[in-house]
Amino acid sequence: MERTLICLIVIFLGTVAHKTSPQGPDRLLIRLRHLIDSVEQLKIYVNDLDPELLPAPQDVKEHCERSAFACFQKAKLKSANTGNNKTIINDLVSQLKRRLPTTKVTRRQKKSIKCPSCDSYEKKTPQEFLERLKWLLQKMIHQHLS
Amino acid sequence: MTFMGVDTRCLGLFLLCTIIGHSLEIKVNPPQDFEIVDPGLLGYLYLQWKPPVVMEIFKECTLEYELKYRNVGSDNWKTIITRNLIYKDGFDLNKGVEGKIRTHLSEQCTNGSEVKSSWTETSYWISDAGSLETRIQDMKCVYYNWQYLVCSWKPGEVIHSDTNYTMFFWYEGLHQPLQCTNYLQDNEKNVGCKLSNLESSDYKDFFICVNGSSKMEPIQSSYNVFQLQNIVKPLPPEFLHVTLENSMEIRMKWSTPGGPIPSRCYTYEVVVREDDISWESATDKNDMKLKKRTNDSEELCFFVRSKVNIYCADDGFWSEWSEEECWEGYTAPDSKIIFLLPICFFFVFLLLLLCLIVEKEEPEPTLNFHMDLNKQVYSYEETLC
Repeated sequence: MERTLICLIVIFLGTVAHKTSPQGPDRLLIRLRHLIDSVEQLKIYVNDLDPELLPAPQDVKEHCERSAFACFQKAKLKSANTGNNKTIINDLVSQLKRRLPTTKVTRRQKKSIKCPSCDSYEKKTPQEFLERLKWLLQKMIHQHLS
Repeated sequence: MTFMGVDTRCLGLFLLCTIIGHSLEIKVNPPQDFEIVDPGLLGYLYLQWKPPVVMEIFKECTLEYELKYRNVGSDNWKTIITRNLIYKDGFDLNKGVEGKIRTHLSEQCTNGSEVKSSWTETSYWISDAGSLETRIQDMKCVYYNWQYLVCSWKPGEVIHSDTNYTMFFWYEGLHQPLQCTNYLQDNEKNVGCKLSNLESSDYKDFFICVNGSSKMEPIQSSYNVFQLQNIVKPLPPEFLHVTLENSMEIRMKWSTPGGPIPSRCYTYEVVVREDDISWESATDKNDMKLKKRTNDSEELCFFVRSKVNIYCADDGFWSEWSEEECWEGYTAPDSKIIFLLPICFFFVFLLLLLCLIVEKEEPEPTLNFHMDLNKQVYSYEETLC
């Protein structure tokens, strides 16, 4: 009698497990892809950006990717005073500054690693800044998917 | 005469003011001992300097340095501003490297506008023997399926028959450059190298140097820098499948190629052939829905190839085309089997439930039997008394 009951429970769980839908949308991946799209768009308007040099992390160490991304977000990327396309640029820049969704892995990592401060990274031209930001995002996407 | 006197006095006063003004102007010295150091990492160079001698009042100020650098012969300077005394970056050592640097004194320190020093310059050429004709040609590197790096080259234009080439590589994480251990050969001469198990080698500069040796003459080295994720050639997609959704719509599916490349890093190019007409389409997903061109087409085939998409790398190579897959009449779609599975589970569940109920009814006969036995015992004792 008990054996039959256990069999029933196992089969019932099998039915339920199979019918369970896959995990909800991967918010972090969607955001990172959207950020790359925004960076590609900003590259088109690079001549309308304020030419001031901005701290742009490079050679980012393992597990410091989020911290490096936060440094990119803090940078004062903005359109030039005399620039055209001000609205589009400001809109794209505000997209970059939105907070990234966290995952279980990143929450664990946040506390243990000591990463370089934003001041220690060299300042680069807006063109270089955007290229390096894109490379960091590509690295983060690949890491997240691996 | 008086007019001329006034003129001279004004001129004298003006000159005096200029001289005094000039000496009061805040100046800052350029950095000292600016040099480019090659630590022998096949292209990763250190540009370093020492702080300038500054006036006493500026000793507490944070100095910034504006550094410009480029390969000799290039039009564009790359610029960085830093507070550090060293800057490290990857360079193409096939050409010389030149750099110039100046000090910036910030507005907060000068109580006015920012002050910049004059430039101090330096340059670096790798000391290399050998003429250009001895250097390898047509160096090509492909990172197959994000697993095997294969670099191949052609020998130099003018070399002696005893010349043989050797390849070294380095990336951040390795203590020093390593030599290739698996050469591709042609007539016992090295013409390529296959590298695998390159741990944590992507998303950073990968440096390669191919030099050579010959008893007759020195061989000039050749340098390459790239990032591995940008030269990937994936495997083609597998398990292609065509199904007819309704009379006019077809669905094509394929599976992600095997290997370490995540499925969401791919982009695909599909070529559909309906009788004699072909057309191309692109997607990032593993399937595609298309409308048939005509209702009575006899043959419908497709093939697909893959590449790493822009969300995982800047560039890459297309894979080889997959095998062609054609629609073969009316076949039961795979999707139905997936829906049948939970229904089967459910029916098995019901069946076992029924078995349980049937099992419950059986024990009653055994209970009656015990009661009869008890009655019999009771009557026997009565007769004994």
